Amino acid sequence: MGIKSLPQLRSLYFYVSGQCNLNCRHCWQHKRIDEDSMVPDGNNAEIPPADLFRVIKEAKELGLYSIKFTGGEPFMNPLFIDYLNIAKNEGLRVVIETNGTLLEESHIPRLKALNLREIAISLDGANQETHDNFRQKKGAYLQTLAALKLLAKYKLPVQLIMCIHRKNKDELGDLLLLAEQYKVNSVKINPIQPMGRGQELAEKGECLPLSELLELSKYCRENLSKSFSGNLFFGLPISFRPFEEIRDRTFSVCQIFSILGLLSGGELSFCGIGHNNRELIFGNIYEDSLPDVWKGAPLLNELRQCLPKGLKGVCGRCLLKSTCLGECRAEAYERTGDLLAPHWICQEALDSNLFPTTRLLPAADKLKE
Amino acid sequence: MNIKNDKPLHVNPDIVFREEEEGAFLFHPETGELKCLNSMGRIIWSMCDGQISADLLEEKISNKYPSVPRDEIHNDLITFLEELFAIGYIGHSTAVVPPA
Repeated sequence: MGIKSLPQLRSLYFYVSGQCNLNCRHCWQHKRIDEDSMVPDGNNAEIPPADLFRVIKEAKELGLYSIKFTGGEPFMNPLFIDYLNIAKNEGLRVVIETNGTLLEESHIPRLKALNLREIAISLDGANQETHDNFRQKKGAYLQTLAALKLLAKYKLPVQLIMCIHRKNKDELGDLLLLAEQYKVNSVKINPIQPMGRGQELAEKGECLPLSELLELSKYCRENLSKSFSGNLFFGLPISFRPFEEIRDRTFSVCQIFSILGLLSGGELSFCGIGHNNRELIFGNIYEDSLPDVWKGAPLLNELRQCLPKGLKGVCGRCLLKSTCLGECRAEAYERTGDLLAPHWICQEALDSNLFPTTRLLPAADKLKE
Repeated sequence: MNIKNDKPLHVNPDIVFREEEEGAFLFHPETGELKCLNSMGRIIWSMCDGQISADLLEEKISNKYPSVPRDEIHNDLITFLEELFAIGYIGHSTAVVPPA
């Protein structure tokens, strides 16, 4: 296989804090968050703003355009606002993923000053009991609604993210009404990934089976999206999307070749997967130059060489493999220890005869016959 | 090299062609490249059987869609065929073509 040209580093996923004030029942990074939460307040190793500034400068030389602040909960880090200022001064496009519970009106001027694509806020139900049970924090729902109210008041772009499961699926319509009320730009419905605590939910039968996810996705597309003024996305792999969406590329997929994960301790990995799997850390901002890591980290280069050709299972047979690159490689690794393992939804669909046959190549053994 | 309008066209047999209700996919198994064809592209691809030329394709499409100006059909068809020809998805075959 030939050497591919070096991709640009377009987006930095910065895991601002290893701590979180909620205790979500599907969290895939809970091990790290639990460990970090054991550390007494003030003793966590936040990245000094000067170091983030240096990293961003280096990354811009490699093509950096955007930064996503995520966590843990970003607002748990007292330096978060300093980080936002750096992103603003460097002209980066900004995405913030937060549970919204710690957002205050005093934060708004800083947020308004950003080149903000969106603030993604988790909301897992249209009533207090459902959301608070899932996030395992009483009062979280009302705090999140207060954040939504603030963001609407100041006309900041918001995406609501709802993790769909057996106990909240019937609240989807009401959640969209809430989304209208708070003037959010988009709503994304995510199936629960069988990672971390999500695996436990799957084992307890609280996740929706694939057939139900497919039905719900269709219902969203054909019904709910027509009555919702914003954009409604359903987080299934693109192999299940209608032809027009693929043709017009009105979907988003993980841009794994052009992103880099910066963990709260300064480690570098593909994304937050490095929190759970330390063997996927391939650099550290305190020890390595970012360009050296981007150009030379063996794990990064191996993945660049192997994706999409080396994808296994159904992903290796899918017509869309060059477009979706197997969707979430972190989930594949977390589940199997193999970055090239098939996506669980697509593989389950193939095994249940639910994978779209027009998008599937014959198996290698069939080709030889 | 450009399309010769009177020469028969065939599709590259290595390219995987998959029809869907709203169009079709062309998939290159070696490069992994995926192209999406609209309904008209799907029809044209299916007609490139090694016997038909660009001229004859234009004729057949014009007969099927008489309300569409002939110039428009010609330009769209040639643009489409040239694009596929340039990347090796279609080629000229040696079959003798009946006059358009």
